[in-house]
Amino acid sequence: MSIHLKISHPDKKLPSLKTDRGRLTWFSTVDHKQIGIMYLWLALFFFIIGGLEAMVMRIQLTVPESSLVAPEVYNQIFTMHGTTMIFLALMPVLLGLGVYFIPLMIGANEMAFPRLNAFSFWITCLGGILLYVSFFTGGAPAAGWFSYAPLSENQYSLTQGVDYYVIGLILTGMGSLGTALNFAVTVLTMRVKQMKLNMLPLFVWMSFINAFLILGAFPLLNAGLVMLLIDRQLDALFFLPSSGGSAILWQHFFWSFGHPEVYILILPAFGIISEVIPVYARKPIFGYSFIAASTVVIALLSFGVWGHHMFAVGMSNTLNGFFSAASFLIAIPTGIKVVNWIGTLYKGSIRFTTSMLFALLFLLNFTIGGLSGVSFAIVPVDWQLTDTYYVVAHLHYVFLGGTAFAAFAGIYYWFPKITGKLLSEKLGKWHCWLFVTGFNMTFLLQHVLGMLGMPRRVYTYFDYPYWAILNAISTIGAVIMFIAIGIFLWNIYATLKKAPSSESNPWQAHTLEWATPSPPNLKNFDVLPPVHSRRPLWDLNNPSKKDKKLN
Amino acid sequence: MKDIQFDNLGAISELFSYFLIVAAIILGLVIFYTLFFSWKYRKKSDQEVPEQIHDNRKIEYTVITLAFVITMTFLVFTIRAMNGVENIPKNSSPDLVITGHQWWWEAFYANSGVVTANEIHVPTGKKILIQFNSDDVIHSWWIPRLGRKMDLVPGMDNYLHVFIKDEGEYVGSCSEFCGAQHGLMRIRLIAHAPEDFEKWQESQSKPTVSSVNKLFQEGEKLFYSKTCISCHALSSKELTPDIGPNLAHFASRKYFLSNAFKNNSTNLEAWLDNPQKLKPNAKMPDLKLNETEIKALSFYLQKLK
Repeated sequence: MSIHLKISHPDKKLPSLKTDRGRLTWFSTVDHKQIGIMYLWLALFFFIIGGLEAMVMRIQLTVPESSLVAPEVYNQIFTMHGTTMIFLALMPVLLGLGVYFIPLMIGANEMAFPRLNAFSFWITCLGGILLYVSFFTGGAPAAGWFSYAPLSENQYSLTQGVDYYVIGLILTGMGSLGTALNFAVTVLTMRVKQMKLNMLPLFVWMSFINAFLILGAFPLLNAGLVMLLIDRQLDALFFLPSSGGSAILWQHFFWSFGHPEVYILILPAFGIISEVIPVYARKPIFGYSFIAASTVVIALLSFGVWGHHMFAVGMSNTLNGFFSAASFLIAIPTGIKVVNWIGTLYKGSIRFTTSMLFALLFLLNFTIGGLSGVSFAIVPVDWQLTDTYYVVAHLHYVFLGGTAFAAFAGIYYWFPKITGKLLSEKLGKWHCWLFVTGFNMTFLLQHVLGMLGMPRRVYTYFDYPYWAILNAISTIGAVIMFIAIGIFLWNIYATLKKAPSSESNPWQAHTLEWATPSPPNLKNFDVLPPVHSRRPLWDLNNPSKKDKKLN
Repeated sequence: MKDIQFDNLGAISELFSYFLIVAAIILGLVIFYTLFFSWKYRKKSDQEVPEQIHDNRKIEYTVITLAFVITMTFLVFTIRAMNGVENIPKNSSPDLVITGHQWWWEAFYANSGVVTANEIHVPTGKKILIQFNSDDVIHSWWIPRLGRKMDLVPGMDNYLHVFIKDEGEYVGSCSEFCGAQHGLMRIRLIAHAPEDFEKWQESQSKPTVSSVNKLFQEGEKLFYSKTCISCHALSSKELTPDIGPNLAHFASRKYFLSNAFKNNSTNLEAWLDNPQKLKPNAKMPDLKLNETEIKALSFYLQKLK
């Protein structure tokens, strides 16, 4: 029996909510495009929830000694904000774009394991739901997204929140593992014959490398989570020092997953940027091989840097030195990428679409996040600044200024592919400029707050010099971001109501996903253009200036 | 072992300022080239087909080499500074042991045997070795002006040298999330000239005062009958059951509740009346005291100089 599903009516249009029995087919589908779309909706839904949680925090922190939100509520909110954004917003948006576009970009009609694909999505969804069920069982987890033991143990976390956190994350983790396996096998086995591995579009390449990162990192998290669950449910003592366990052990498990996770969330974002910039600059990506190779270097090094989250726990200087060196080294392949993206702009013909604006602003924001990240490799500086608002600023420059800006660039870029409708550029630019203004207002000054001594995860603070004003500015920035997201949602809503109008390749993009109608039929491709270079559609449109022939 | 004091904050600030300079240059270059190229190479016409440049190995290798040199230089500085800051002798006997609790700090002076809570006093001009550990979850000790933080990990002893030149009050806060009241877990360190520190230590060593004042005696009686004593010790030489702070010489402290509230009768009475209102989730139970009992207890505690 073949493991591949036969598609019976290849010309059939993708089901929509309006076609007959459309709704039900979404539950039973194994089509990668439908699953990809559901991933994107899931990500958007949880992005809004996580954003609302962020607003609660910002409102509470606007003025010093505010008593609007009780401490135990605040702690639940910030725990859920972090967990939601990382596991239920950023992971699904990146995996979702991968699920939708990897087969299309390599000229395949399906993922290698369509059923596993559906399973991965639904189990991720279930994990997210379970995480939020915790609110109705007496309280959401309140031990932070990192859930440090022994605070996350029974004695100190009395509600079942942490249990829901553990089970929810194990489930979403299984989903990520399934999708990662699917990505790896799909890229290795389903490519159109002429496409060699060194011809992969960079988004596919990065998702491919990322798959191995996920396969390596998530088992570490799941192992730790299972141990924590055994501690909590069966009274084991893995992480309880008073009974012979080790509190630090949890941190090693968590961060040996947690730091690769940071790269898991940024590599596909790098991939999106590497697709978007060349298209709107009308050039091939600058230094393809360097971007591709540096991705592998990052993937390898990312498993050796987790200790820089733990410099303050009192490790020996030998260990500190090792993790410091590795953390310095990983900055090099990351820096190379930035240089190559800027190089792609050189002598281009740049079109300032919303997607391109997000990509260019990604370059600036991500560089700030990347540089502030390097300061944690300087161990003594880390001793001073870790667990302060400096870290809050840094991680938001990476996740929001980096990953989310790239995701927005990707969504504005691929939206016409998915729906056949172009998002409004006018609303898009409002979204973009308001968001980047609000974002920098919120987080740039938080670096200073950290240096002034404001610790993280505090539900309120006293009015030390400048703290109140900096926090107030931060909150205003958050409100601006909130409005920007409102415009984005309106843009999606208004665009979806329009009739499909765009041509199949409105951006004159270069890669195979645009070689089929937008939106694609149930069967992706009937015919494929010849693939001789990294940009088959460019070759088709510019026969006189063909790309380097690679096969 | 060198005895010259290593200036923690100074070393950190110096390193951080080098970092800031290099980071600002790199960021400046990225911003400049991104904006400059975007503007210079903006679309001139729809038909324009730019030159298809694929790469430039020379630039790539130059950048890699430069990045390598910069980061490795910083690594050398890092390791030097790290070894300077972290300079803990083996088999060290600490001068001061600080234990983290949800949500207060306990201090034990090894040489004099004095125990106190939250308001921690140290002498200036002297290198003192502090030992940190925790009684429950992980906390972290951080006074920004003194540089570096140190986690208080249950089941593990951490050490930190502190050297303070100037007298005064040094504030900070717990920097590892430790539960509901992490936000109010503040640190106050009072640095005295050595003579004053000795005086303070002596006064702390004395047994608690007694008085014939009626209200005082009433309060004292309540302290026992309402079982306050089972969680709070009244002798500064007693390491208490690790539930509540040692209250010997309580009145000598300027703040209470891990330095979050001024130590005055208004706050104290509010606290005794409804602890959960002032500091939700604190371990202090509501003792259901009536107004006269609150007044008496508060009066009593305010006299424990």
